Amino acid sequence: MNEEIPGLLSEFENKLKDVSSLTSLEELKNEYLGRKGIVNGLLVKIQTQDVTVRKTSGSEINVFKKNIEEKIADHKTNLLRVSESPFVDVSIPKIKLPQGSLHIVTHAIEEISRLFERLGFIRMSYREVEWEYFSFEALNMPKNHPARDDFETFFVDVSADDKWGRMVMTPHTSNGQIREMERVKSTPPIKMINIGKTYRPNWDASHVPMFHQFEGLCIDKGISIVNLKGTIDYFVKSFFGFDRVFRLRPFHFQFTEPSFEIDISCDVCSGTGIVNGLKCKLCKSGWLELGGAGMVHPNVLKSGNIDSNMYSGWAFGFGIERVAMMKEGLKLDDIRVLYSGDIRFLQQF
Amino acid sequence: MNVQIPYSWLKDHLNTKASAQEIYKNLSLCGPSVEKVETVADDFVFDIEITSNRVDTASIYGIAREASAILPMFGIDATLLPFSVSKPKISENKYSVEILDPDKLVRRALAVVVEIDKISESKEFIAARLEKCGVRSINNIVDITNYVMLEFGHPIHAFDFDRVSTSKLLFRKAKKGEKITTLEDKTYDLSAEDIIIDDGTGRIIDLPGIIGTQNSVITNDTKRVIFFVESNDKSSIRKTSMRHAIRTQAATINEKGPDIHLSIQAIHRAVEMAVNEYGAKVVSDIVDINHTSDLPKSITVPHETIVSKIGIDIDEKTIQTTLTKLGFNVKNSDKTYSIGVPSWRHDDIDVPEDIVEEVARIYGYFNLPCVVQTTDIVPQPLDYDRLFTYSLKVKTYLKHQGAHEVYSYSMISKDLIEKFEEKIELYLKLQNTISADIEYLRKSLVPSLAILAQQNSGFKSSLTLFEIANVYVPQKDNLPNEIRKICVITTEGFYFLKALVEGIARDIHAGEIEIIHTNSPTLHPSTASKFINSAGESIGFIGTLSPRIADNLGLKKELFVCEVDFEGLIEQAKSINSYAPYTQYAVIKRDITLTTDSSRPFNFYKNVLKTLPHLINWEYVGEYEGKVTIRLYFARQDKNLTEDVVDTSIKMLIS
Repeated sequence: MNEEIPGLLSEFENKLKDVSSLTSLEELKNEYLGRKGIVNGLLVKIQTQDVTVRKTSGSEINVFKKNIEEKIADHKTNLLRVSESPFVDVSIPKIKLPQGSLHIVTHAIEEISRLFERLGFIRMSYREVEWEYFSFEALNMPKNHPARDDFETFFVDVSADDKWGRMVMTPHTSNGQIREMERVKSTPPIKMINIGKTYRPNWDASHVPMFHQFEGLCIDKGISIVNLKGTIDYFVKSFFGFDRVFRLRPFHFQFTEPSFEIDISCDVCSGTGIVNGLKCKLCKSGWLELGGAGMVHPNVLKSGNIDSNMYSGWAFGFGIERVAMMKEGLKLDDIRVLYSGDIRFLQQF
Repeated sequence: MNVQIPYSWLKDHLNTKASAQEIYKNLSLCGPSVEKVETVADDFVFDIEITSNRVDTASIYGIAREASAILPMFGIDATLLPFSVSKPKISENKYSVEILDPDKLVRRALAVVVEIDKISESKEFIAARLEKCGVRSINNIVDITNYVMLEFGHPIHAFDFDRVSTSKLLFRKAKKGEKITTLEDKTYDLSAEDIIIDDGTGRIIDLPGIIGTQNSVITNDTKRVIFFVESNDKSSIRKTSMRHAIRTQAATINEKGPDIHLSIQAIHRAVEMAVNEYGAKVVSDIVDINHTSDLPKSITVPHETIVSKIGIDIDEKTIQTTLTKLGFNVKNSDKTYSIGVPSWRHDDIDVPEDIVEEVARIYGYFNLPCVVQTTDIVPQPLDYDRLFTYSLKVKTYLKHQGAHEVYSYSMISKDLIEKFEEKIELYLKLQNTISADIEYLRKSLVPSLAILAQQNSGFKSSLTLFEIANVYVPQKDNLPNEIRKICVITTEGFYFLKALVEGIARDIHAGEIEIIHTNSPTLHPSTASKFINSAGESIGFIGTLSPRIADNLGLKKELFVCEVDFEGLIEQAKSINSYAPYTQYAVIKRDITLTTDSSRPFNFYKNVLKTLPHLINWEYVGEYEGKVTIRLYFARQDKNLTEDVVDTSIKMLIS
């Protein structure tokens, strides 16, 4: 019997009692079982003993080693067992990370661009201050044409250009049609969403003097009304939801022929025009006006030097704020708040 | 423009069993937009929007004609009743009226004199119909003119014959400075472009096609009436009406060129009503001057054009029937239609696409399928791609740092420009603004955002706002330069704002942004600085808003502002950085304290740091009274460094 072992064991047990963390347990384990530890020290000592004695001593040391290993393992299990701990109030809002916001118009623009990108439309952005020519004449709206009444316009107080006319704040994004035709050197296909700022002199709960439009333009061989319908159908369902339907109503715009207005079914009254037995306040008999569209007028193609015998196209122009407000759940009753810059509004989005 | 169409009156011209609700529902899908239908007394009134190309539908009869083509498409019988107005009988040809138009200023004009017992109130049914259409009843004769206009869509005027001194109606251009006083008792200074009617004595007695004048209209004492209809030149009506802002219903119809054939029907109808309803006698010939040559218009459209633009095949018979119902005269030979255009669509139908529209709308857009087009790929222009991609990245970055995005108006007030102590003459101005708040095109986003900081100060103690938008720099004889800027303002301190801009550059991998002192009238001299991008270009400014401007704005706290040229900011941006292999060898860390002052700012040391041998990284630790502590990291790629090599390197920095 190795006389050192019982003493070492009780000493180990005493030390183990005081171990309260995994780190000190690891230290104790090293002290006894490490490469230069106590157990190995015992094994070194017996190297010089007689073979038979050495054998006996060796097995005694092994028992001692196993004993220590087990005690350490048991102690580790105990340490890892989660016991009662002091109360931690996890509900305290201790750390507040910065939280800014993006504007609703940005949210809408990004969503719209993404939807049209899937159909292979590029995104463009054209001039905000424009010549009258690109906003009117090139779009088949000659000077003094009554159709110009539909586009009340801000003029910039500088003298008119002999060739391009007066300087205007563009009242729609359709100037981008001609600019895009020029950019591609009058060579279709053209598939563009032009998103930009537009300006009209109205300012009340449902109008702001500056707003945003997105203009779709698609020109190629064989483009027809059914393609416009297909694209609008895709947009309405992706943006507003698969339960919404739309309709085309005949309308008139100088820059398209045929021209339509597009209505989508109202989400508040589900297209019935009636809420709790009363007329729906939001829509006209179940329909909300989305905006204008049509087949690009041959005179507009001509302005862009595109042969209307070879190519045809469709175009639409919708208001970004309008579609954002028509989206389910936004519930904005005064459009002016969008441009108020009021932090109480901004921080909600 | 909108017109009010009573259901009962519509049925005078349309034989149908369609209910008001059916008309309301179906008309909008194929023709005029019926915005609403209202119950008025025992009747319904449709409120219908008339587009500027379809003045032929701005009447009871015009809507009846549309309905007769549309309702059958929904399985509801509808027939347009023939329009029967006969030429009135002259009872005694004892007066004459003369129309003179030596300069051919109008296309056609007609006049006739009737004698009437007395000017009185209208008969009940006439007044009631006018009222349903939103027209106030005046007296029996004036009401007849309005009634005829509502029914047939052609304006007609009534003069008091005895107030037209020489019985002459002379069309001429006004002389500059001539005045008229309208029947609404408003006086206008005429322009030499305006067309007027002179009674032969030099006295102006009408602004034809637009409004009557006080000196010639019907009064309670009128005994003899001239009914007068003219087909004007639509563009001169438009110009005169817009010039003087006289927007009567007659003007809004006449500027759109109503059917010239309606003028004769209108005058016959007015006389017929005066005779039948009020016992008037026709006491002159009908005078008619006509400068138009009556050439009917026609257009040739191949069947293929119609079906290819619509996108589905529609059979020839359907096309022919549809067009015929709308009054077109259609001949089909070898799949090409030769189409006679009715007089009331003369100005509206020009190109084959106009015919495509007629066929498609009556066929019903709702009957067409939805087919997304397939085309070749259109490549996104790279510069726009970068612009939009990095705009979103930058906005998202700022949002996550606690900044709030703002959209503010492109136009600002004179007051705001003056608060920034800028010269107003350097700004583009709107000619017709609707508010002093939006009168000048901004040249910087800072004023718009700075004023928001003031307006929001009561709601949030610390605030960071940003906007990406264009500014407008005037150019001589050209459109302004539209330059995209990013502006960030904050109450949270100069170094926070600077860190945001540096953070953006890091986030979009645009290399390092340098900051150097500069002078600026809008910034406090202590912090006024400019940014230099990694290509060495000056791209914007940052600083504390000058105390004087802050005071002008009513700001109670310091405001830190920066504005950077967005293109310059993203010029060096990359979607990902290139990989730099990290060292396998030991890294030596050293903290060094540097003494900075105005002659040797931190920028000086930063430049030296760029040249230190074996420096792989450094970071700022802290600053106290101009003593800046930084931590330096040294290593080699090929072997371990020795301490003395590091010491030598550091000496370059602190010597």
